[in-house]
Amino acid sequence: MTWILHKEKRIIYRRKVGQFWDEYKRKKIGLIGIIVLSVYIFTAIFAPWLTPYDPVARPQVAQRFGKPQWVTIFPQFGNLATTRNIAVSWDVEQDPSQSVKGGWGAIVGVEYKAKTMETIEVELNYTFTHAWEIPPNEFYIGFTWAVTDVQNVEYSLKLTIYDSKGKGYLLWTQKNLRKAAGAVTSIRDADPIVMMTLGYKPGKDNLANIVFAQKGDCTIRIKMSFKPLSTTATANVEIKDTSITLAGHVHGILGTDNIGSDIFSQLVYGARISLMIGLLAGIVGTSIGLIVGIVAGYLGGAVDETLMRLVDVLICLPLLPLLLALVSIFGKNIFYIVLFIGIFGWQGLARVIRSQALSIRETTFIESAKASGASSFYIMFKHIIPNVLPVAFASLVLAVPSAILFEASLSFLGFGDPRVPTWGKMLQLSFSFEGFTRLAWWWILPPGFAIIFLCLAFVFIGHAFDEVANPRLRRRR
Amino acid sequence: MREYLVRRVVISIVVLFVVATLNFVIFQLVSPVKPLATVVDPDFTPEVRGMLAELYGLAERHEALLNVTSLAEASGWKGAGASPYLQMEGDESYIYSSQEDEMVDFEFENVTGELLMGREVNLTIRAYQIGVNERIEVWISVPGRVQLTKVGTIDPAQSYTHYNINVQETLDSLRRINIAKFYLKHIHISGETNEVYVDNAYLSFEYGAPRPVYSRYTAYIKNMFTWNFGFSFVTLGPVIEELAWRLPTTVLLLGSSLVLTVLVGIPVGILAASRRGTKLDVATISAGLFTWGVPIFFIQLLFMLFFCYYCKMTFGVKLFPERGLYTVPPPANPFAFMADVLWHLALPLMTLVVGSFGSWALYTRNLLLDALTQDYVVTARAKGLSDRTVLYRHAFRSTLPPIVTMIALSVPGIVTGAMITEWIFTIPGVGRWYLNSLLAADYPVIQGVLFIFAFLVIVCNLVADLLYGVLDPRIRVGARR
Repeated sequence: MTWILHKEKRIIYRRKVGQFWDEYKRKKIGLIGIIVLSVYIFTAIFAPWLTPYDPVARPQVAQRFGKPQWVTIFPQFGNLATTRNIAVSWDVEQDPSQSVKGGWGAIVGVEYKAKTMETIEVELNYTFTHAWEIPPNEFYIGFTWAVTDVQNVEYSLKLTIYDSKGKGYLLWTQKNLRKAAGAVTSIRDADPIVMMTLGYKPGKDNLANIVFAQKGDCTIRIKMSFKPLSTTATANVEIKDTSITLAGHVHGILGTDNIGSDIFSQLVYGARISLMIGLLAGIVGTSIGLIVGIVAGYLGGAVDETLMRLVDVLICLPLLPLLLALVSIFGKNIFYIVLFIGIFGWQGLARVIRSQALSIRETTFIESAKASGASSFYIMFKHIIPNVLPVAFASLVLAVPSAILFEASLSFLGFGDPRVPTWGKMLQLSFSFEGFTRLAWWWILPPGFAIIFLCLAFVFIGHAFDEVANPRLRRRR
Repeated sequence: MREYLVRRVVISIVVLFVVATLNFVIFQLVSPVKPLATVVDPDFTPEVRGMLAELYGLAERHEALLNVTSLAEASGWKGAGASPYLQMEGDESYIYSSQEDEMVDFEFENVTGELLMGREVNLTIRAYQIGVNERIEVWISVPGRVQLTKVGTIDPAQSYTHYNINVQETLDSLRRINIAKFYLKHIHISGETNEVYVDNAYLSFEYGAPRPVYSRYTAYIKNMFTWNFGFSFVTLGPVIEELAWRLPTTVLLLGSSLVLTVLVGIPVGILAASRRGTKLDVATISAGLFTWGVPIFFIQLLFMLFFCYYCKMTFGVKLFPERGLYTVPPPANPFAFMADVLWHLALPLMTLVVGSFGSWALYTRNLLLDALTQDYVVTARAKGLSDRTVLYRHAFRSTLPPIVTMIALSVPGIVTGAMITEWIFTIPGVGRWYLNSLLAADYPVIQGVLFIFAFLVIVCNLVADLLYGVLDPRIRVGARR
């Protein structure tokens, strides 16, 4: 590649590129394309910093099908609230019998030491004010509990939530334990077992709506009871990291999807994946097309005939069905998808390049190169490639959106890589999981328009590039 | 002309051949999932399985009677300790074991065919026992199972009598494993006297041995070219028949969308060309560019969201149905039925037209503009013909050949588009069937439909090429070579 470094050549190329850019600058459509594309590239590069939540694990951040936060500026949605996370700081009500020593706050340790054979009860309370106009549709409570140093005691733990009228809802119990135990516990209001024990119908009633139906002070209470089996009974209960989450009706820039995870994060990561897929597949396809076209056009004869028949065959292959079959056989892997799109997407370019190479082959400079003893390989790669590069580049720019669309179609049909958050997959999820029946436009529109704008940016650039590089088109307009 | 025609047809056949070969390579050689591995449905009768296996050239039906002779030829001793051996003497074979309570493995390696499950397997072992506490156990091992399956024991009390073990029931419990390598794994010999005579240990079962690749290949190609795509794993119906009743739906959708798109796109293109530089022209160019960047399925989703769900929820009016080809149950009156189908097809068709007419308009416009700069148009103008006559009789006529070609060439793309359309709108056509088959790993259907698609594309290309020659007198296709 020494010729790139050669100074005179470099000046010539710089001048050529400069001229090209001067002409390109005048195309408004091309500039729009470049600006839009830069936004996408910026998003793709800085995706990890722009995404507040993991787009693959999709953690729940608000209620299911939560609207975007900015809809609250409209009066009819003004009362919708964002997710409220309440860190619980316990208040311990001690039993007067003094057999319990306790602490207060976020981490509560209750030391139990039996003095008499009476059953002792300890209550941990926390009262918070629920001030939402509209009750939440979901809530969940998480805490970590551990009971250690258990000797000769039978203990029970109960978690109850009291609504503003003082009605209690028993959400969690651990009954009659005699051994050390502990877990990271998460209680969800939609848990069918919780619902059934409370006498509600899972799937029909909404516990969060019932509990938080009215504004006011709500109390969460953990009740411990220790029943000593002998006078030496001891137990040590620790409860920490307690939090109550009232899932928001609205969340973030683009709301939440069917499992309550952030859509914006997925969308931002989608830019990265789509650009990568488009560029890689485009580069693979364009390189194959370029090489095949040049080799066929320059060498001619049997090689040409063989390669062009291969192109004939490839053109006759129904691409999407074939890709679907290949993906379903080889596995839904993003790299396979890229590779297949590239491998099956070079036929058109090969034909164009071949025709160009055919005409370049007859020019005098090739003849003189031949006369001075240049090898075919040398001529093809040093003389022909630079001359067909603009065509190849224009084709690359147009191959990218088609690859992106192809991948989006594959993902939409459910044949995308399940480990990768792509726009097509978002559309597929919204199509399969009630996105349409619930009119979740904030879930359906963003990925679709993201695809459209990205593809259009490439199409615009390609169009402007074609107008500059291809004089035949210019005459037409 | 005739020479060219013959040449093109030959090339088309070659292409079809290559497509079939590619199909074969992908589905029969490369595919990590053996097609028959999908035949797990216990409801399938053995006959159906055998039929399927034979049809796909995966297996041949065999009756292999593993009599003593073949046993001796085929078996290899893999015993522990000092070699027990199998000795042939006429109809009898002897197993000598020199150690006590020894597990003797012998595998009939040459008969480890791929067994089609559910077939009756008769394993008959007649054993002569010499020792007192002799016990012979026969085990079968199935790949994928760690444990051996005990088939039976030859009881000491039954000594000197022949003992038939019917393996049918044992295998039934293993039925979920589709293809079992079947071999006699162990003959357990225990006892004081280490001499056992096994007489007529023979295995009679039908099994499908994997055929050599070339023989499968020729059978495959033959099947493909005779439209014999076999049976669907799911419905057990012949693929070609299943295709036949689904095809009209797809053709209806495809044909009407193509016709509508062309009918909308070409006039728009003509208008744009005749009013060059106006807003309409700019709109046409943008519409053309937009078809490159806007996925049709997203347009369909948008239309569906608005016309089906939004209207229903906000206004309570169901403008268009979101799924199906007709209401269930379909109306009895044929006219009502047709209207119903049209109502169901309206939204898919509308979206297909919206999503693709732009490229047609742009293509027509560019062709027309090209034609309008030609000398004969200038001549026509100079003759004093009206703009209308010049546009339609002179310029537009010359653009017809490439447009017709384009129509033929666009069919494959429309097939693809129709596939997603059928998926979104739940239309029971070939495309939806294909996608469902992919999800169900219904390989015969996948191969058949792929071949049909390729066939369709090839025919369309051929027709396009020939039409070009017929329509455009300037091109003498026969004289090209």
